[in-house]
Amino acid sequence: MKRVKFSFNRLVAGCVSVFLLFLSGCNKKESTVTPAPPSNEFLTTVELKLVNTADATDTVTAIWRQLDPTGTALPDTSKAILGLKANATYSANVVLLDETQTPAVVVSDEIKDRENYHLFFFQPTPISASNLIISNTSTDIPVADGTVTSASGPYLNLVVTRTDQDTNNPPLQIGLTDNFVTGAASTGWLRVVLRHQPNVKNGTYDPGSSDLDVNFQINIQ
Amino acid sequence: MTALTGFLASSVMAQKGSSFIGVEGGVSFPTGNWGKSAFISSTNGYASSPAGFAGTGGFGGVSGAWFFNRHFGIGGLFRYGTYHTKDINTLSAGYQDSFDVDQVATSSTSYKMWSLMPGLYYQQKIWGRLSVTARALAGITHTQTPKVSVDVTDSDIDDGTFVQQSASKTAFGFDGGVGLSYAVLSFLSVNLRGDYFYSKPNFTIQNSERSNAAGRLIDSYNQPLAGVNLSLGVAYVFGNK
Repeated sequence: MKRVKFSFNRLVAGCVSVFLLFLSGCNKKESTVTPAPPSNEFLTTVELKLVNTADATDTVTAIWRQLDPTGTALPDTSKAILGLKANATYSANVVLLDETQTPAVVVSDEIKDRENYHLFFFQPTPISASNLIISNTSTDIPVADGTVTSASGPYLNLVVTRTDQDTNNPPLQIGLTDNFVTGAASTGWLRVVLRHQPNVKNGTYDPGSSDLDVNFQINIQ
Repeated sequence: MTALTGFLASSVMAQKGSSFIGVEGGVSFPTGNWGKSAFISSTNGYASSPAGFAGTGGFGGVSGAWFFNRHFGIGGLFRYGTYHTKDINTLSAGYQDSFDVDQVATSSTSYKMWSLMPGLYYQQKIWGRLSVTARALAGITHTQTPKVSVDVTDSDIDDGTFVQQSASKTAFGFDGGVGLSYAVLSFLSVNLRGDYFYSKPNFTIQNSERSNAAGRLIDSYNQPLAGVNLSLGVAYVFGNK
């Protein structure tokens, strides 16, 4: 019978090698990429509902509608018109709907639930460069993101300010409720943009992407 | 009574158990909240959860004991182990739902844990070369939590990466269990063990690049880090009488 020779040093070296191999194998990094599940909601309709703060009977509603979820058909802008009184202040509510479903889904409720990373912008045009204010509380959209300033006018005399705040710390504005303050009679356009800024919302326009970008015709009389 | 005491004393003093030093390695199964995963979504405000996402781990270590009589000895162990992050898809899906984005890429390092514990050993021969060894150890356990990185992308725009930083803490811990030893040679045994371990470090966890209050945010973790270890080892046996 063959004698088995035992070497303690070999045993220790072998065990240490196995131990180190084992540890290197265990110390791996986990990673994954999670795509979004298929969406079952569309943003088909934007309603601006305004009430004159000095006259509750003075209510105005404008509706922008695009019922084709693919976006290939032209939107219905026949009601995307706001007729406002001059030198007045209106409190405004922005309502977003998915009218492809019955009953229509109020998407703005979901935006309210996800307020900490959504932000509305309202850009009246024509506007002079000197009146275009870019800050983390302004509703204006930078020139680099599509705002065209006019050197000569006539300008749309409308200023929009947000009145609601999210639960970030410190809180940031949202824009689902706003004040529309009109000046002298004028006409123009109001571009409404909803920015989706997941974990990058800081009050400014640039971070994130746009969930919504529509235009309303404005008549101030 | 005096006779019984004398018998026990004589039997205890007459022989010493098999002192040993050896290496062991095996698999570790986290228990409790530490070993749980959960879908954590919060669209308005941060969400915390006791789920520790610790998956099955592996460990290796050195242990030894010196028996001052036939059954009882003092000894200790040094053990190092890692635990991968379990169900990282669930963790990532929670962030995806929280921020309502097209894609979330999540990566995570492992829990790392080492323990240094002295304590008592008990040994009993049960049949031929087979003996059972029980131990109760207490000492320190140092644990490092994983670093979790979450990269958010929406509408083909990378909105950046936020990070749950790794944290580490040393805490009191204990370990206890039983094992079977088979004496392959007079100086070499093979050991199969099952042990329970426990520690409860109170981690303070830093998070970076968290700008908006949504999704899972863990800034402290004070849950028991406990589990069951199954190990296989070999030991050099000395002091056989």
